[in-house]
Order: sequence, then C-alpha cells, then structure tokens
Amino acid sequence: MLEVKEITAGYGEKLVLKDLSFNIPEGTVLALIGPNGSGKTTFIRAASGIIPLLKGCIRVDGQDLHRMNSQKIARMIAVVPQARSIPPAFTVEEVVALGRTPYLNWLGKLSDRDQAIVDQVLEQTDLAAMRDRNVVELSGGEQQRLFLARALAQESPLLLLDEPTTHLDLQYQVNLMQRVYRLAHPSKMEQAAGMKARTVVVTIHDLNLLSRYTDLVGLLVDGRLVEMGTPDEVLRPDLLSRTYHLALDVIKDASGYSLVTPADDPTAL
Amino acid sequence: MSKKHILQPYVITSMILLIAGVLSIGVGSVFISPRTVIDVIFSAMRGEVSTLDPNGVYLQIITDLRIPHAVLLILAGAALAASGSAYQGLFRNPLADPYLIGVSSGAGLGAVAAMMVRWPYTTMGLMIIPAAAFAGGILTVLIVAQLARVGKTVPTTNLILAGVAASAFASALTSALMINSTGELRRALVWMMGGSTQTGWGPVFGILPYMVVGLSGLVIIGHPLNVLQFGDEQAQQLGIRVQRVRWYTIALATLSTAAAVAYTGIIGFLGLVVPHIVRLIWGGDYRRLIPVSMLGGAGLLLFMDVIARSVIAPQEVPVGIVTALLGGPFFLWVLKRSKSQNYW
Repeated sequence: MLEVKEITAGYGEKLVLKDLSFNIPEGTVLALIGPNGSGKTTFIRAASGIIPLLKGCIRVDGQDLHRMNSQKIARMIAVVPQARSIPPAFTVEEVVALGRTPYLNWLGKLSDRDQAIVDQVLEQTDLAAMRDRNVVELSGGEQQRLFLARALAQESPLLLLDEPTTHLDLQYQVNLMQRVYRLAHPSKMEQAAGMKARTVVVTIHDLNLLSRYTDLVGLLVDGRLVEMGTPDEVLRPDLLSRTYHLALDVIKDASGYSLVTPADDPTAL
Repeated sequence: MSKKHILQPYVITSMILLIAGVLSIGVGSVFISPRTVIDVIFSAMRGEVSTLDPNGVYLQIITDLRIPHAVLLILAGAALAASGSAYQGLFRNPLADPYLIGVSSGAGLGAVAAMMVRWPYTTMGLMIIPAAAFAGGILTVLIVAQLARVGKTVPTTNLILAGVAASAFASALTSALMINSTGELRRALVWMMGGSTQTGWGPVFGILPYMVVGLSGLVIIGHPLNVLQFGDEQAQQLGIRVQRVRWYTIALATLSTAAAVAYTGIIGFLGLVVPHIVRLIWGGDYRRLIPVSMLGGAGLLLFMDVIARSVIAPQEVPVGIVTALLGGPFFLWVLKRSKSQNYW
C-alpha cells in the first residue's frame, strides 16, 4: 500500500532522511519512533509533498506521489498536524468541512455528498454535538480530534499523524490511539457500513502505547531506519537502551503487552 | 448556520450603505434634505418631475455631481476594505492594510507620475491613471514582500517595517514630483489626502473596469484564503496551490487598491477598521468577510465623506484626514488587543 524506496530528503545542505526504505500493507498502523531530531516529522513532510525528495520515491497504491499536484496528493494522503494553534475564526463544522478542499473548486461550495461526509465524520469522531462551537473553545484533546476529523473528511487511504499524543493527558492519548487503531481495523459493523480500512503512519514518543495500538514499529535514528517489525520485535531492551542512551527495561503487563520503563533505581545510591 | 444568520450581515451593511448614500447625496454646498433626495430620485425613475424640485435644479446637481461622487466613494470604500481583508488573510496578520504595507503610497506614486503627463480628458485617458497606479502598487508590494521575506516566510514585524519604509520612500518621490510640477499644488495635495478633485462621471468610468475585475476576483478568493489561515504547510496538505493563491490575492487586492487610489487619493485605515468590525461581529470566514467588508467599507467611507464635507462647511476637509483621525486610534487599540489576547 505504502512503498517508501530509498528516499533521501532534507533542508538545504542538511540531509535529515538517508536512504529510507520500507513497505507497509493496507490496514496497518505503523508507529515511527526515535529520539528528537531523528527525522520522524521530516518523513511526514516529505511524504505529504511539502519538501522535495532528493532521491528515491514514495508510492501509495502503486502511484508515484511526486508526480502528482498537491490536490491529488491531498486525496491520497491526509496529514493530522500537531494541534498547536488553530485560527479562531472557524466553527468545528467549518474546520472539518475544509477537509473536503481537495475535492472542491475555488468557491469551496460543498455538495450534498460533501456535506454527508462531513456529517458522518463528525459523528465518527464524537464532535457532532459541538459542531457549531468556535474552535478556540475546544480543549487540547478535542482540537486534536478535530484535526483527525478534518483529515478523515479527506477520504484518503493513507493517514499521517505527527505526534498526535504530545501535549495530551493520558485519557486523550488513549482515546486517540484507540480511534487510530479502529481506523485501520474497522469493526465488522463498520465494514458492513462501507468503511474501508485505512493505513496509518503515526510518529510518537510514548513507547508504552505501541504494543497495544500499533501493528508495526519503525525505529529511526539519525535519519536511518534502524529496525522495523512488530512492537515486540522492536521493543528490545538492548536496542532501546542503545538508541536512547539510557538503561531501559521492557516488561509485560497483565494482558501481555510490552511496556518500556527505565532500569534505574534512584534510591540505590 | 441558520438562513437568517447567513443573510443578516449583508442586510445590515446594505442598510448602512443606503442611509449613507442618501446622506452623502444630500450634503454639499447646496444642502438637499434626505426626503427631497429620495423624492427627486424616485420621481426621476418614474419619468416625472418631483413637486419638491419643480425647476429640476436638484435633479441636475444630484445626477451630475452628487451621485457620481457617491459612486466613486462606494467603489473606493469597497475596494480598500476588501483588499484590506485580503492582505490580512494573505499575510495572516490582522494589521495588514493597503496603507500600512505601502501599497497605497506606491499606487499614489504611479498615479501622480501618470498625472504629470497630460492625458486627454476622455474615459480612455482617465483609465491610464489607475493602470499606472496598479503598476506602482504591484512594484511596491513586490519590493516590500522581498524586503520582509526571511527564507520562505514573511514575519509580521518585517512586513510592517518594510511597508512603512516603502511608503515613506514612495511618498517622498510623490511629493518631489508634485512640487516640481507646474500644476496647482493645492489640488494635488488635496487629492493625495483623499479629497476628490475630479467631478462628474469620468473618473467612475475610468476605474470601473479595474474595479469589476478586482472586486469580483476578491469575492471568489475567500475559500482558499480560509484554508491558508492554517499555515502554508497545512494548506498545501489540503490540496491548495499556495503560491498561486498568493499571487492571485496580491494581484487582485493591489488592482482594487490602485483603482481606489487613482481618483480618491490615499485613504488610510479603512482596510483595517472595516474588516475588524466585521470579524468581531460575524466571524472570520473569508467567503463572508470579503463581500461584507465591501458593503461596510463603502458605507463607512460615505459617512466619513459626509463628515469631511460638513464639519467646516462650506470648506471641505479631505476625507483621508477624517479616516486617519478615526483610524489612527483604532489601529493602536487593535495593536493593544492583538497583544493582550489571541484575537484575530
């Protein structure tokens, strides 16, 4: 579904991504992890056409992204940005409706079908009750959900989420990751209602959410993909300790999911 | 949004414009009461002679002088307020205004340079001046954007500073041109401060083609400007061709500003005040903000002009002085407000 082939990208002289390659099938949640500056956000910017590839190519459903204009890319790939500042001029519904932009002309007039999609997305993301509220009145978690809703309205097979859980409290982090998982793994009922499984790439810092809510984990270090596999394959104490320059343990919780914790006893001294 | 709510801003601003229009037509060296104005116009539309104006003197004053003057101000007010909102959307900055970023002065320089050449006093001749103003305006906005640019972004402070510098430079050149001209200095000075010196329908026809293109273009650019509010990166990820939208916005807003400046001179702050009030009351959706600002800007400029022509009647104060007296303090208020809260 998503094919990344030997891509190199960066800003001016500075190369941030170096020879990055991986493939993921449809209906997968891939988490990109790695220390700050390892190239996670740059990957999202390169994959959405914001910065050019110096080498290599990215294909979605077999189509080469960098041969498309921004409108076409926006139909294939939707990006959920970090909710940092939202222009306060809009209501919840208006922001979600902007997700239909890649299908609209300059006037931006929604067709009945566009409106139906907006309504459905508002329901799906539990934002319908606050559709007329001004966006500045939303909490951080609700704003992040709003951006997810806008991206869903783009109806793209691939979703890219840039550190969606940063700045959110635990309740919203879990809530968001549950939603992300469901997008890639829709229930039987949702499938019967015509919902297709989406493919998701999410950059994330919290390693403890990975084994529950993601199918694959890619570890980026200094712009290179060091390891990629299932959460259990990547969450290895030796590998993580080396990457984060810190002694780390990986333990299993009561349900058998992996948790990463510092191997440090501050009272030992 | 309910249907009533969608129409409300247009209805209210149109009513303000209508009242301002009747007042504006009535005020002048010969005062005509609103009742007479309405009666004379409606009688003329029915092909009759108004009982309040048996000799047709008022009718002649109204159709030959007052209405073209009002139409000129309506077009200029609409253009300045609409291009103000468009520049604000483009630069994502509530303080952008054709006057503050130097476009008005640049257009003024172009217009004055063209006035130095004595074009024939025909509609074609009158159309040259807005074209020259457009050239001056575009040149200024490009220089300002280039000066203010840091990498790919245009920081606010740089934009305003570059605007002030370019504005000062263009104004200095304009003054130099005017002082060296053999024509009547006071007339040019009055023009520059926003007093109209040309009367009759000529100037209206001279700017009409530019206004039609500029204003209708600005009305349809609302949706891409909305998306642009989320930043260039998100706008592109939503499928907007950011560079193209930027160029269209600059061209259309500058064209409208230039057409306004050509015959009504440099009128500041209208592009700042009107979009702000509209935004406060009805929100910042550019698809609504731009057309409602046009109506509001037209109405407000007519009111300002009524004040300008009546405070020391029979003398007239250039309307630009009145808008600056009102707009200066308003600008400071907005500056304070935008610092103290996350207000757009």
